[in-house]
Amino acid sequence: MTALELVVTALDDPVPGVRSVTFAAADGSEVLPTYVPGSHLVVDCGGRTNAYSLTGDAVCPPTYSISVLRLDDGAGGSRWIHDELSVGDVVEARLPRSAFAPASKATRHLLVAGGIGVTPILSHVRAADQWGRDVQVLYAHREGRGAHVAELRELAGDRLELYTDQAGFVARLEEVLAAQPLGTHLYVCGPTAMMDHVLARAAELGWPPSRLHSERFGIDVLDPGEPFTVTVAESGTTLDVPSGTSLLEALLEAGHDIPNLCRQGVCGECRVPVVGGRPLHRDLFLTEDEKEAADVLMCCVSRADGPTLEVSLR
Amino acid sequence: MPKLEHTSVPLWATASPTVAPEPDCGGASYLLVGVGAQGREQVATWADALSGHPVARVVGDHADYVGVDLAAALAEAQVGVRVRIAGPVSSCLALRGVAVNAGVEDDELHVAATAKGTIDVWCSHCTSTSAVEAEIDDVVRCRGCGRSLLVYHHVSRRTGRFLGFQIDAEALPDGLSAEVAS
Repeated sequence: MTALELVVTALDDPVPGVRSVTFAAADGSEVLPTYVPGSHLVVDCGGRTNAYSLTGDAVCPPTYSISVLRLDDGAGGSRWIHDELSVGDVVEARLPRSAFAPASKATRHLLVAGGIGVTPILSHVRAADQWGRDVQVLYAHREGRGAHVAELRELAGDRLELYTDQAGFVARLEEVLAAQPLGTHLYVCGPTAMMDHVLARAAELGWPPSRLHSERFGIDVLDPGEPFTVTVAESGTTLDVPSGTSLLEALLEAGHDIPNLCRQGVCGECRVPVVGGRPLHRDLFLTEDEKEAADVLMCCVSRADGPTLEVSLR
Repeated sequence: MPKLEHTSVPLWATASPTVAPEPDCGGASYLLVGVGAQGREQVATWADALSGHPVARVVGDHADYVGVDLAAALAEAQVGVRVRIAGPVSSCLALRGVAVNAGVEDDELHVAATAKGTIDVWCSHCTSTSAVEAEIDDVVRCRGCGRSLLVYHHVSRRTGRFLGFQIDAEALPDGLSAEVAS
């Protein structure tokens, strides 16, 4: 079973622009499936699916909680949650999944959050508190917009540091990255530019890839891409993929049933084997090795590196 | 035997420990560990190439003593350190265990075996360890209990010892027939 029916039991706006939603099982079950800290819930937001990090207790939770930042220029999922969703509404969701779990071998966890990126970090801090793990938390947010600060303070005490000015955060980050005992793992979630900065500085200060963990909300708006044609190996049919249309959209349009979910190159659902031509990878799902091998692509965001591509849809 | 890269046995711990990939130079500091004359030599070569970087050395003639010093150095170490180990295979395996236990990740660790020498085989029956000149799949005599041990293609990341178990554990003793045994 991968689908869940959830009923909204509470709505709250802890800070301006952020809505926290609490769900319980729609069938009245007292316990929802346990999840790994840092997991996200893929919610059907009035026809489109969006992934939101779970912020509550992860073990046998009676409820699931998410916090959603309203994005007026987003694709509409956050507006739907802010404007349409009411207490008592039933929504479809997938089982929680995680690509941002705590490393079991780590002896210390350095958690860095930016803005609404605090949500999976809160989940990590809760788990750290329950298991007595050593944590340090840096949380950068805009003045007056720090969601979940009170809960973090209660859980992490003086191991939580808050920053509302970029210069202060950047300076402190340098000190902290340069002085972590061996065994520390770094986790970062926040706006793309901030995450890129944290990961780049960590690498420059000698952090190896194995110690770096990041959760991206999704790809920033991608360029529309060059047009190309795609051949479906089994039927030999050729389709045009114009600039601004994704390969996934073109294939669906032509009647091919391609499983898909996030349409942001994150979830891994729409993986398609490539049998001819070179893919132009633009996803966050495949590993570098897989991208190098060039025999598969995530068709929701990736395109052809050249005029043609041949895929297998068996 | 399966391909070694699908087992816990690192390539540098096999018969031809010469194919060492280039070590990672992306560290903020380096801890260079050498056992024996060739190990010290390799450490000196590394240190020359790393001139200008923060480098600490832990060298000696016995892996046990070097291991104590390595553990002490790692207890003080910070993220950003890279550990390089040079010495005979059994020393490298044992010292890798020290590093792994201290929280060193695989992408922070570089091993250059300088010689094959003996390997440590751990007896799964009496739990004693025998230092023997042997290859994987050889049969050796356990120093603890005298059993004939097959050197299995598994080496512990934690202790650096190969797994050994009695080669004929399922054979009936002489003079005992299958009917009597059942």
